[in-house]
Amino acid sequence: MKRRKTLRDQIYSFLALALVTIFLVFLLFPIYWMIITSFKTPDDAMSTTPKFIPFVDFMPSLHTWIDIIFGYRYRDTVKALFNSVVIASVSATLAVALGSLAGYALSRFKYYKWKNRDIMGFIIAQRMMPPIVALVPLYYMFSQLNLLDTQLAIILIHTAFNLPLTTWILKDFFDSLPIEVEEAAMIDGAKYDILLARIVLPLIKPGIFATWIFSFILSWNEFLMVLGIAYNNAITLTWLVSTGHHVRALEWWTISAYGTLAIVPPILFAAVLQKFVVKGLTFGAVKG
Amino acid sequence: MGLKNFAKALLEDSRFHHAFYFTTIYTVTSVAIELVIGFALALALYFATISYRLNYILRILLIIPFMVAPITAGYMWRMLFHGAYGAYTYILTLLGFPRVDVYSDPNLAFWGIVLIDVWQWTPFVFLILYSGLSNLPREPIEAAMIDGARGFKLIRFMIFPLIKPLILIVLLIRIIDSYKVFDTIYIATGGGPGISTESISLYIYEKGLHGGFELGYSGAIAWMFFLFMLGLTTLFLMYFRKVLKL
Repeated sequence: MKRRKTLRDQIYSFLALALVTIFLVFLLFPIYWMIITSFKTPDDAMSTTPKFIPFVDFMPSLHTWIDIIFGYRYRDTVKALFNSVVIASVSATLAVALGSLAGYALSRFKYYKWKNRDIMGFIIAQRMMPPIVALVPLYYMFSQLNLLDTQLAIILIHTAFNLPLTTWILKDFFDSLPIEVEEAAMIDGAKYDILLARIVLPLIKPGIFATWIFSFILSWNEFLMVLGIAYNNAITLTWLVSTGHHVRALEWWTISAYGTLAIVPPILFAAVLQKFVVKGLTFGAVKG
Repeated sequence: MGLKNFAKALLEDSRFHHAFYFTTIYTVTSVAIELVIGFALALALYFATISYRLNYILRILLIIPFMVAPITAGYMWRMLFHGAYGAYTYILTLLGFPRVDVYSDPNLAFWGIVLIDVWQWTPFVFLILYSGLSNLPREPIEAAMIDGARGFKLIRFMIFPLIKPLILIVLLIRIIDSYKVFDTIYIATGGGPGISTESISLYIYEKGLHGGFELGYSGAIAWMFFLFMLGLTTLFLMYFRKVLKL
């Protein structure tokens, strides 16, 4: 039986959602501000009475965007964008490829006297470690290998950092598959390679896709490792955004444009990830 | 040699002590605020429905901030509170407050940093608690509501016990992540003014890679930081097992 909604309930609902909407303004205004700043001329951006509404307070101009795409910043922009895309997609692909194998193994096999639960705990324990702790030794290691400031170094680091999460998430997906399908295929003579490639992986395709996106965003947004390892060749978009740090005459409009560029993919994926992120970030502890 | 670096950090290095103190206070403050607001938001969207479509859209919009790179977030807020041309600075002066640059004011910088963390991570707390709420069995809650349980009573005696494990998980994740804070502070204040907002991660970075190049010393601090986090997490998990009777 459904409870009928009284007028009082509806008033409460309305008030609650009004408060949520006010909070939403607090959440979204900074993003709005950054986007409009990237369309301001330097004069408008540095006005002491800030200009809030495009076309009313100020005329939007493409000045900054033309500057970063065709102007003297063109080389930096292209390099950083290219690196961000390459590093995020390669490391996400590696992390998903290795993570799915590990996840499958942990979901289906037993390892002598270790419990799979403990192995999983050991794997995820890496998340407890602050990244800065790893940065100092990694910096030393990559300088010995002559790999400082290379995309390869950052790809390796990001893969290693995302691997525990992808393993956990994908193991959850494998767990949810009924084992009978695999048993039937094995009775028909399928070996593990065929089993994985033809049956198991296609079945969890949505999971793999979501995990890939998740891992992509983590790598795309990551900054500390890039800051430590890259200084010229391997810089990413987050690195470019940070260049305003410590600078006295900050070019807000330029950094706004880079910032806007940097938030595009994550926000596009926000809707896709809505349900899924919960699983990833809570180490699969929440069934949702 | 040997343990000299560790002894120095523990006994003499007051800058390290300050960084540790700052990070702890920062973590406790921002996680507490996030938990309260995030839980309130989750409850609001769980109970109050005008139309399902509206709630769905609100939910998607609410989670946007934590998709934004922390580095971009720090920079956005620094721009909003800029002393001369910040939008929020301007609004505050209209409301009669003196014109200050929040991120270079010794008293306000701390709250400015907390604000960024709250902005970015309240959506995350909300998302997890909301999905927890929507997975709760609906019948006992509705039964309690038919019996006349409303408002505070319903939340305190019905919902809270059911959602408690999830709150603990969120708390653990947020505490771990908050202790690691680097990006936002690096951009918004750079640890300043002075060293007043310098977090442990930032200190290790400044000491080891940026200015000092004292790799050994910063390595020792990093190692202690790691041990501390490990201890904290272990304690937390032990408490977890006791509460959840795992």
